[in-house]
Order: sequence, then C-alpha cells, then structure tokens
Amino acid sequence: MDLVNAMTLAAKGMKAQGSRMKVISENLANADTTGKTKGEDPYRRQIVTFKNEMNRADNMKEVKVDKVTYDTADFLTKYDPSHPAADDRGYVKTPNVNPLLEMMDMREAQRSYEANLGVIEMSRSMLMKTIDLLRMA
Amino acid sequence: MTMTDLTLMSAMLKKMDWHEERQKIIAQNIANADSAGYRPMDIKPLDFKQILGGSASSLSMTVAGTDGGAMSMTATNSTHFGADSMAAGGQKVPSIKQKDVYEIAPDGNGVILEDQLLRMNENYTDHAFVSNLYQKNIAMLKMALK
Repeated sequence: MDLVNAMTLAAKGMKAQGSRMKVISENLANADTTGKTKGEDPYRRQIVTFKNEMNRADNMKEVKVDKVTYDTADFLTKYDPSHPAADDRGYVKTPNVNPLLEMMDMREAQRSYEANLGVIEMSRSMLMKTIDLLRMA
Repeated sequence: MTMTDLTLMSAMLKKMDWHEERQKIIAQNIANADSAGYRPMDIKPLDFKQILGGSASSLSMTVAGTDGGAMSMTATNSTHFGADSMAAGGQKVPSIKQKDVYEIAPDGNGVILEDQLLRMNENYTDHAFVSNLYQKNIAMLKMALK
C-alpha cells in the first residue's frame, strides 16, 4: 500500500504546514500588540519547528510540528510618551515581528502545501491507473 | 498457470511495485521539505538484470516473490508469509540517501522542491507507461484466445 502511504505522508505534511500558517497568522495579527502597564513586554514572535517522526510500521519518516518556540530577538522600541506602556524615557516596546518575514514564511508554507497537494493528486492517479487494470474490456 | 508465470508480466508487476515504493519516498521528501536537517532519499534503480537473470535458466519458474529478484525477501522458515503479502510491513527496497543534492539550506535541509516534483512526474509517467503496457499485453492475450 505504498501509494496510500504516500498520500498519508503528504496529508501529514499538509497538516504541519497548516499549523505553521496558524502560527504565522498569530504573529501577523499581533504585530501591534503592546503591553498596557509601564514597561510591560509586548507580544513575542513565535516560531514553529518541524521534526521527523519515524513510522516503523510503514517505514517512513512522517513530518510533525515539534514545538512552538519563542523568538529571542530584542523587542523594537517606539517613542510615544503618552502610551500607557511607555517607560521613564517615553519609549514603548513593540513586538519583534517583522511583517515582511512573516509574509515570506507564509509563501513558503503555501508552496509546500501545494507541493504536498500535488503528491496526493499524482498518487491518486497512479492508484486509479492500477485499479483501471481491473476494468479492461 | 497464472498470469505471473509469464516473465514479462511478473517483471511489469515488479516495476509497478517499484514505482509505488518510489512515490512513497518522494512523498516523504516533499512532506519533509521544511524539516531541519532532513536529507532527501531515493530508492535503488530497479535491476532488471537481476529480475531476468534469476529466471533466464527456467523461464516458467518466475512466480512473483520466489525468484530471488531485486524486490523479494527470502523465506527462511516454512511459517513465513510470502514476501509480497507482507508488502505493508517490511521494507522491500532499501531507500538510499540521494547523492546529487546540490543545495543545502542553512538549517541542513537538502530538499529541492522543484527537483522532487520533477522526480515525481517522471515516476508517474513511467508508472502509467508500465500499466498501459500491462493492459495492452492482456488485450493481446485475449485476442489470441478469441
């Protein structure tokens, strides 16, 4: 059942890319989320990592979302003395999210998702071709 | 006599088996296209010499899975299942590390998506080719029977 396994693998890949999209959209949606008390930390960017998981029964390496970790990069600052989260010098910490980077990440996720979809489609047609052998006139 | 007694038929079945296995490996590569440290795999090319070589002396002996061809396992005990009936379990063809990896991402991933898609397309075309050939062969046999 290698073709079915191929489809399972691709589906797992799509699921992983879906989780990645979720994290990316969280980052983008919170790109302007600051604290509201003095000197409070704003939203910290999250990073998704993937890992291989060996499926011994079918002898294949499935992809899985490993752990969502936090980006350790420094927060950005903005001068806004009237902001509730402004420190003594009048600076507000803003999230370490770079929308451009997130967009790039999103495109990458999209490409991977499409590639996995292609694998499913092609495995399906291969399977159908094999089944068609039964249907000979 | 069954269909697989014909050398050509069993060779084609093996070829199709091989393509299915390869499709699985390519799917694995594509699914892991963003996993850190993953290196793409491929599968050993099908050795027709071995398939045909094992049957050259006795053409009628090539029952699938018993001729020692590239894709069969050896049953060392009479209680073992036939090699091909265990297809879902053990590995039939050892997968090997893809050698011609020409670009490795900073995270150690060596999968090139376009390259894998190309391989998949090639695999699909060859599989379609063999299954059409199989179909044509059966049609020819049927014509002879009529």
